[in-house]
Amino acid sequence: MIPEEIVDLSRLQFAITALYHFLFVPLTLGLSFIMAIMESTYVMTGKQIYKDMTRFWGKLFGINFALGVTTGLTLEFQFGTNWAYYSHYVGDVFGVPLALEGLVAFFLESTMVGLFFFGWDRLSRVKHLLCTWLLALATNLSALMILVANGWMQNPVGAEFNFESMRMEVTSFGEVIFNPAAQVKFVHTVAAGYCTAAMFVLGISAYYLLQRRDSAFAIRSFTIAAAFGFASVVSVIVLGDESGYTDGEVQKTKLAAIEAEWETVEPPAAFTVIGFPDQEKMITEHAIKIPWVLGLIGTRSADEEIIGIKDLLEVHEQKVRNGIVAYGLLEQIKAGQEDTEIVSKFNHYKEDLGYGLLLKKYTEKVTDATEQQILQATKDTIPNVPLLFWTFRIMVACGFSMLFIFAFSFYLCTVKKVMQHRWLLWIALYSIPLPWIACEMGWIVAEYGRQPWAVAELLPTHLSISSRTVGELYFSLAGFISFYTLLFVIEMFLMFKFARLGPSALHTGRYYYEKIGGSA
Amino acid sequence: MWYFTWILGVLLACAFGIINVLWLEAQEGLDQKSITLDPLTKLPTRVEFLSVLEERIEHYKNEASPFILMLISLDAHKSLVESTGNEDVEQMVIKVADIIKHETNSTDDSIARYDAATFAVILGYSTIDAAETTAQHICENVLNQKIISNNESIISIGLAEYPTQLTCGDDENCQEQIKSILQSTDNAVKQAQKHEKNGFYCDQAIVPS
Amino acid sequence: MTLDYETLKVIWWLFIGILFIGFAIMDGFDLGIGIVLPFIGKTDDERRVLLNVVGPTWEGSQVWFVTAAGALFAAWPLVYATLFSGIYIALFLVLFTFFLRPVGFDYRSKLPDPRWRNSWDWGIFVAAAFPALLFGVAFGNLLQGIPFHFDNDLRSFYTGSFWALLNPFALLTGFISLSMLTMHGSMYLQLKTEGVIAERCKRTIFWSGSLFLVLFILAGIWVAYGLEGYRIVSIGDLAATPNPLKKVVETEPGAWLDNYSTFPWFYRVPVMVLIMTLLTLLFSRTHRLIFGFITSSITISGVILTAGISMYPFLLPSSSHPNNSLTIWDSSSSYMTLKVLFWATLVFLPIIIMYTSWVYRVMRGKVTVKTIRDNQHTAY
Repeated sequence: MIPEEIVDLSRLQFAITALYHFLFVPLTLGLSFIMAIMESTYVMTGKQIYKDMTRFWGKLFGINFALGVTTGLTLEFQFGTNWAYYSHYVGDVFGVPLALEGLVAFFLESTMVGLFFFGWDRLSRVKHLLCTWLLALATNLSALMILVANGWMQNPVGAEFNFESMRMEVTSFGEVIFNPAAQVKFVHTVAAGYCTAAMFVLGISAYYLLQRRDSAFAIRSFTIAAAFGFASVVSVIVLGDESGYTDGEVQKTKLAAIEAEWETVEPPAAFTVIGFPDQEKMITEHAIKIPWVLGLIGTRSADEEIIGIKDLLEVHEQKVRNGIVAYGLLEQIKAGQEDTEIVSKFNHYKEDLGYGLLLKKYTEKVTDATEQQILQATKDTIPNVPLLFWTFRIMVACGFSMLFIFAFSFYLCTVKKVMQHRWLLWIALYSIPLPWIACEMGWIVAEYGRQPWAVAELLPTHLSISSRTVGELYFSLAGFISFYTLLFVIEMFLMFKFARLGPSALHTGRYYYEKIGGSA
Repeated sequence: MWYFTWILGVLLACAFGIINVLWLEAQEGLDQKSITLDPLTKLPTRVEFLSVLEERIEHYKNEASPFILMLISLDAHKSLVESTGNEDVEQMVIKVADIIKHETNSTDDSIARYDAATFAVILGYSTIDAAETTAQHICENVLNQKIISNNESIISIGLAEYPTQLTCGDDENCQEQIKSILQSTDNAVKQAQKHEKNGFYCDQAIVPS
Repeated sequence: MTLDYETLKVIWWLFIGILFIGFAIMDGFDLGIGIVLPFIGKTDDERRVLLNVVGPTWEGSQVWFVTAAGALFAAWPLVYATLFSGIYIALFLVLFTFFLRPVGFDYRSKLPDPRWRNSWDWGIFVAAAFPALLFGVAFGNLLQGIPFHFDNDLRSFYTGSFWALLNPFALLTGFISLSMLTMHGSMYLQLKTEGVIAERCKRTIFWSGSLFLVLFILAGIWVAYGLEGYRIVSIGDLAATPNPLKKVVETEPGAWLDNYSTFPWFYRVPVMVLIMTLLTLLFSRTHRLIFGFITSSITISGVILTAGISMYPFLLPSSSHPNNSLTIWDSSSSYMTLKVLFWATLVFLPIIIMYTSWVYRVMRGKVTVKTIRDNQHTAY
């Protein structure tokens, strides 16, 4: 049996590296579009200040991009190093979007980023603008491919188990790419990236406005960020993730866990604003509820019900029992009994094979599982409710705070009264971390909510790992933590330095510090 | 189809950003149009300029933000009017105005056509060193663009900083202060004209460095 | 030629080969320049020249690495899983040093402090020299096979240690890779610079090229007479659903030359490597730099091809359980995956090559100390 410690360490390592990677990704996704907006305005109006804006925000983009690329490399390899069985079991499907990401998007992105920085004097204005737009497009296509892969883990469509090669194999690529879970997740994630970048630009511009320096530069950046951010935050909230929950069993479980819906109630269900979910007793203490809201958001109808955790558990128990049968049949097939009757019986049960594999945590043979073990495996199918409940609420709270900030900034921009409301500038400045908190919480909700599965209903997380030792895992984990901490400190140092310096960092001779004659 | 929504959404959000900032540009344009402009260079005239200068001095009392006054005298104006005629003169004025606009910052600085043969510039949030660099750039550009063919001086620039030692103090009359700083700058222009062709001079005598 | 499963499996061997050759050529000179950075660049300005030679293009070059890994994942998931989890520690050491490269390139010249810059220069050196060496070591181990086996569920178990990877033959191939990339990087550098830097490159090319030549011949002799090669004794239908537990493999010294003795034409590949290396040295001397760069690129492709042809159809031989070795026949993805990716590669690879060459055309011309001084604040 696989030692729990290795599973936990592998998960911890992946969580750390993925969450760390996503500190840099959203800014890349959004800032590239903001730069494209600025440069488009430059080409349209011919005003030098827009070129300076593109180049200054590009400088910050570059500092961020370097770490995004660095940490992305890790993830590309980590499936092989730490999740070898996963890679074998689903590589036929999962590897494809990763390979396509390189071919379709990442090549374009990385080639254009070089031209963006070095091509100013060598390209005409329009050609350079084209590069910037291609850069923005490619970063987003890159996210698309990765989220197609991730969406498949949440809702594995278009693939089937093949007992000859002992793995999942593709049956339809169309289904994988147009997977509803992937589509919704993509839109939600990139829009969150746009918000992040808009908040970043808004906050730093507010800082210059508060200091009354480079005001022409700052107010223009602020205006663009306010409009772009407002549109994005509305998309994030309105499009949201909700429609994704209705697809697939695991998404239903995730929804029930996020909302701490223990019972299936008469539709439309009430929304628990806040409370203290208790997973053992299966109740939510001190709950404050708003009637109807959850039913309306979750199902987009007044009469569909949202299935509660207790009912889901009953369904899952049956699936575990089916899974045991499927596993038994698979063992027979592997032993050489490939007659059509067994194979067709296996095909009937193989949908639930994954639930049978959940028992591998408790018994090597699966078919000899006791009632006690079956109950345990069933209980495992519900992720950690209080954790999901809270992370989700933090994410939503951050989202709505940003909606307020962007909406108000946008309004003030249109009536030209930004400078009269210094308090808003202060809020914008100190809200810079908000989108990052929301993004990280969102990932925790999405991926922790998928547990105990690596691939929903197909492959349990604890089976997915590589056969490595605890010592080796501590080595790589320690390496990551120390390298990532060091890189983070350096990155933040440079980011703060250049953000404080502002457009004077471009050395054009037109901005604040160069006029004062101070150090630059 | 959510992918389709995304394409639409991105285009919309970007267009939104561009429109919002163009709207800002348009409004700033409107603000400028409502004041009397010199028809040739589209710059504010002397009256307008004096009121801006007054505002800046008032602003200094609240914010303690120093500024530099720069007068750019078109030395070639007179001789050109006599020798070649109006069209060439207008060309020269427009070209010099463009150079000044290019070298200064559109929101922090204010430019005006002070009289027929003089431009005035307020360099906001600036120091004398930075202002000298700007003056240097203007002179170089004027020379490089070969605005008139013969070898005489085209412009001379005088600089002075506000507040000067003479004009400090809150209770002093604002009009007096305006007169004083204009006087200092004008002296500087005269010094510049004495020194070299297309040069600038800073009124160091009363500016504490 | 119809695209049946068997053909596709062979085509993907070629494609992955092309991606790795692409990586070795394109990222190879970035690595090479990283290796010589602290030595050929004596002053800060000179080092900035070196960095800016690759500045606009290294990001794109690095993607060859990422794409090759992604394609490996998609086309041969079992190889990806077994190899990467097997050489766990070694791969993480490569990754950790690789971290220093993007960060080093981007951050180094952002601050003027000489200590800051000097530290990053050595960081970039480590991030180049160490992976260059370890990529060669990895190839050496592929040729020898690494100890792994599968259980009934096709879960892989690696039974070797990290230090076992650093055996004499692997170190030999490691230094082949190191000297080859040093030569290649210096060749590109000589092409893109002038004056004292180009002069220093000439010397570096001479000694690294000569070293490479000697080591390459040495490795050839070792493979022919000393090294255990692998040979498939029996295997089922080549177009069958892949499962690596259903074949018999034997080992024998010199078996890696089987393909060469069956098709003697292939001997031209290693011979070509020798000739091209000599030509590179010659072209560097005579300042026909474009030709020098082309011949050194052909050298790199030849080296990878030489190893590839020896091993074909093996991808990852198992030294402890030869029958569990991975070959192109029994570790590929499903027919549909290979087919879809085949078309995707056929469409996108030419596009990639197109816009990459456009970028090189835009950025053409030599990088000099003057260019750096003129672009003090925008260049790397």
